[in-house]
Amino acid sequence: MPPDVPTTGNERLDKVTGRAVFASDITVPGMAHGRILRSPLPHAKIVKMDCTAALALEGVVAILSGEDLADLAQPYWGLYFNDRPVIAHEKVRYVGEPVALVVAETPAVAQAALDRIDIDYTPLPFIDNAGDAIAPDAPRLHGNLEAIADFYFKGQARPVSGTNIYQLYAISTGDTAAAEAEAARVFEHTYTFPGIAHYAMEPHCVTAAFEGDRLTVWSGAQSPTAVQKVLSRVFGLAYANVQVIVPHIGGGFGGKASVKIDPLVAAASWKAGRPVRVALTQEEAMLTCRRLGASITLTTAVDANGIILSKRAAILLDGGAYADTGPAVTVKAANRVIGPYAIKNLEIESRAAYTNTVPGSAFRSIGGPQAVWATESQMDEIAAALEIDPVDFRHRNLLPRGGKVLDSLRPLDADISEMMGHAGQAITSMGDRPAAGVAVAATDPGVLPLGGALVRLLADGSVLVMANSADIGQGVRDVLRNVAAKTLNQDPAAIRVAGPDTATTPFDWGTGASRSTVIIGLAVEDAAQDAREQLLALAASALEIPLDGVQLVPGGVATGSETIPFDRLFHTAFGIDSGEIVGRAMVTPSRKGSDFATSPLFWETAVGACDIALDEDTGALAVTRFAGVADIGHAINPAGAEGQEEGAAIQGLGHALYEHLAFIDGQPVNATPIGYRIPAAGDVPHAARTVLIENADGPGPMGAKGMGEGGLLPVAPAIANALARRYGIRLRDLPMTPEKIWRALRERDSDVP
Amino acid sequence: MTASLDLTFTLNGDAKTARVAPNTLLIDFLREACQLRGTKRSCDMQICGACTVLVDDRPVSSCTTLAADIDGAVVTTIEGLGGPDGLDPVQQAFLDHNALQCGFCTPGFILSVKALLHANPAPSHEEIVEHLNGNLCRCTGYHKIIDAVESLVRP
Amino acid sequence: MYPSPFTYHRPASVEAAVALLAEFGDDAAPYAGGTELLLAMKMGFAQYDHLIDLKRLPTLRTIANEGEFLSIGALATHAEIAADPTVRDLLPPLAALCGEVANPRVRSSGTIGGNLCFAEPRADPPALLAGLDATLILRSTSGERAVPAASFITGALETVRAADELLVRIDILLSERRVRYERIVFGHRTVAGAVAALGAPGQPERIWVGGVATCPAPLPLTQSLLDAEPGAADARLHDAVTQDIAALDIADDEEASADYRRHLAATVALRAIAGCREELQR
Repeated sequence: MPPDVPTTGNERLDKVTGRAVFASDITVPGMAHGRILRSPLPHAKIVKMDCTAALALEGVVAILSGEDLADLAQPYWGLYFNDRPVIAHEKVRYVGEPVALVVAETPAVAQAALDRIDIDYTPLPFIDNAGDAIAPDAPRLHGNLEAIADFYFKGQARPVSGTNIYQLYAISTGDTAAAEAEAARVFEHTYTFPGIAHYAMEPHCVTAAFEGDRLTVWSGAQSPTAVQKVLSRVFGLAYANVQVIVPHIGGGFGGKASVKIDPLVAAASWKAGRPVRVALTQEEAMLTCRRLGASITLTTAVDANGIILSKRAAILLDGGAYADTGPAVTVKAANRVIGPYAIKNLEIESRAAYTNTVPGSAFRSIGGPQAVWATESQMDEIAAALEIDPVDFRHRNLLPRGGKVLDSLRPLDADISEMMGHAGQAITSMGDRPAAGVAVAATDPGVLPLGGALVRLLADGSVLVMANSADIGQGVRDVLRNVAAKTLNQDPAAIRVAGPDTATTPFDWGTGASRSTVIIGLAVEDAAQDAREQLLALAASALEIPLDGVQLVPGGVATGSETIPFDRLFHTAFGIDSGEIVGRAMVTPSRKGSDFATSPLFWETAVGACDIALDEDTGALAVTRFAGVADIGHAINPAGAEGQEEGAAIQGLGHALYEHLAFIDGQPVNATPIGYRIPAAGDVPHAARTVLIENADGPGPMGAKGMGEGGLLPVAPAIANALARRYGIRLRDLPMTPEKIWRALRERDSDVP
Repeated sequence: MTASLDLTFTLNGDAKTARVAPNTLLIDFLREACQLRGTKRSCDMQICGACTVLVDDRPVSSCTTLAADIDGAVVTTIEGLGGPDGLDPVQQAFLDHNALQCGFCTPGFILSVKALLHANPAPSHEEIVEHLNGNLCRCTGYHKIIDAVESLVRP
Repeated sequence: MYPSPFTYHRPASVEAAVALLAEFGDDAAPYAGGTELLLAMKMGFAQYDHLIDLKRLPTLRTIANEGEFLSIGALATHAEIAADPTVRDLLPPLAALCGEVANPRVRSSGTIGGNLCFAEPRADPPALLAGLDATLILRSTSGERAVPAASFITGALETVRAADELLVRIDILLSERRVRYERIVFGHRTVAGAVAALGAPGQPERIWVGGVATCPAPLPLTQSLLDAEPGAADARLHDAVTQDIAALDIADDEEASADYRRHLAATVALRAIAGCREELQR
């Protein structure tokens, strides 16, 4: 429902004045409130559930549980497998899994009712890490599931039958065995990476309202059309009858991508016969999804000149209880572990396994931080062993612009070597010492080239841009506004970018994989171009002048001799000063004859360099200087682009030093805002610089590439490399907590003769 | 003793009265009873500062404060600072320095900065960072927020 | 999260507050800053039928120089103590610590008395006050009693305060001792803190650690060593501190393993002693 306070249409102004309406600010008349009872056990059969006492509590409207699932069109859903029940059904698979949802008149009553639900469980053997999950006799979470093809991402998962492995992806080029046999040195190291909470400041919130066979959902969703698609399957509704509206979103980072609590909340509304709002707590958000933990073993062969001959990688990802988009994470981890290096012989096996922990899901650069942590740490380890400067070692092996990471992938569209130079200069511009640690990354965003836009020029000259790109703080509306303004030659202030609404706005795959600037940017550009052509034709016809005699100017059309405002043009053309021009476009894999189907549409590249200070008594580490470099083609929204890089780097700092969603015996031990530490203002580098490379060589509007994920990638390995170089300790297990650093220092000192 | 409580207070410059249940939290009173939704619930544990409001110019976590506490007090929420046509300097600084992305933490940050500058009009850089250390933002990386505050103190 | 319903009392005097405590006993909680109480109630860890609001009793928040003592009302907030000219003048380490506790919102609501009575093992002020030989004044309908800060907290979330008692003020003996509080904070949590109060003729030397065990703890061997030999060499100090800390009951937790926390405790204790000695030499 519209809020009482009028919004201004300028999102940033709305945000600083408290007027911006977020998903958790939505209220609907007649709305009830849901609270979720969650499993206390990692793996168990539900043997009895008695809701009588809870239902008797005054103010309780309804309770949804697994018993209700039989009445749904499709009670299990997923993106790669239909492995997830709308609510726990007969068994639970992780601590925190929803087992009952109480709908009540107030959240407080719903919460109070949770204690009155009586459930008996029979515990089952559980596994809380991927290593145990792939053991031959490991208990299994799911039966053999049928993979769904081309449902959300292109392709399908390849599970290993009879095991917990839900995805196996392999890359093989050349002959690694032969390369290792002829190598001067072969290095093998294992790097580990924990599960990490998204910790968006706004926990997931969904309000759902069933009216007959129509379902309306207000959701903080990055992928509104995926939510629409899944809801239509679960409830057997036509797409046209499922409307997903996305207000402002208080942070996403992938944690609100694909589909999360939407089916659960919609089912609660279906059961209660009322609109239902469910706002998770931050603790619950941490039990909803997380980044996949990983163990990565790299075996790299080099010749006597420090040229990499071959690389083998064994990647094992901890997928949690449901696959979500983990199969895609598995593929990307494999592609991203290669790095921007020329390596002829590759043997990569990437697997993800179910475990009885919080489901793994997409998180800013899927599989990237895990892969880059391993690869860029090992690059420095090899350089140190070979007594080559680590920057020089990278230079010897880097792909040039146009080089190929894999034959199947589009050639590299950036000069990493030049970017390393910028990073080094940026570090020395902030202090005397050169960088202590450097890391680079090139990742292949999974850009699905399918998304549309409408650009409506209204009679008063204002412009409505309609696209399903969600504003998660990345500034996409500013980007789309700028693209429309430029194409239509209108003042950006005249342009309003509407928020996603699947009932009114063309299909878009979703907000993720750094794709919106390019795909929806182009859709808006094409739609604006369509509107422009229609306008010029209309003007030529109405004013009876040749087409090349008119041009668009802010507020109207100019004929050379005079400027005609849009309302007068419409009046002349249509007989009244009303009407509108609707420009439309859909970007597809073959847009305007181009090849958008080859992956990646652009590379997301990053270089990070840092210097650090260490309190050797305590192991406390501070990053004193940090420089991040990204090749983004063109910054359509420069302040936003810089902010994205900076924010990504500080998320990377959290990954590097603090963050670890930990489980002991299947129980999450720090999944609360008190126990889980993310970076705060006092933790950030004392000096930081961001360098954006702009050669206008991207596929997007004005030569833009997608961006916003890469800045996260080099941070952890750059810090680890700095620790090795400055302090002689090598950490291979994230996060690099003070305690781990302290232990490594003690070990270092005890090794000294 | 009382099972419901009558409050008299000033909210964003207006004198108000209200009756609440004693266990009503200030955040719910503001968001539901007063329909002021600029105050955001995030961590719900006084860690993140998204729910910060000013009570007699002091910053409080409205998620862990009773509505009872504002009886007789002057309360300022984000809606009580400038509107679109007349921004408070702190709001303007956040805009000018691009010190926000998703914006969910922004009202809390802005009010936190208001409280800092009220108590200490000329904080040092270290004092600014220490103060901001009590508010969490997952988007910006903080540099632009720190810059925004610096611009108010050392233009 | 929502606190379960309770009856709210707003006594007009300390006497009335104490009478309510006597009436309701365990069913009532004094409501001071609320920063810990409300959180515990919201999370369902604590439930009370009655809340007795002390926030409107100004006599409970007075800070005064009583000559021999600095007297701090239990309801003084961390922010008030941090900003108070008397505290800043007479006991700068206390003002500084109160200015750094948690975050500005907790400091502006949270009170020194609430902090002591809640007895959160990671809290800093209890160790500092124990090291300062502070005296806590508890009042009930049967009168007042004085409890040394050193023996007030008996375990995690446990104190000697009876349900019908109200902590009304904290008296801190003023002396020539140099005082130093050192702590290590990771994120928003203290992982180790230590106070050294040294160098006043005729007064025992005090070294306490906080935030490491379930409650603040003195370092007796170290204190004795410093009492006997104020200038004891660093190596001997180090040994004494290490022995003292080895004797503490410190458990592994998700923040730090026990041996690391012991190391941090020793580090802050030695830093606090070194800081005091530096001041004494000035």
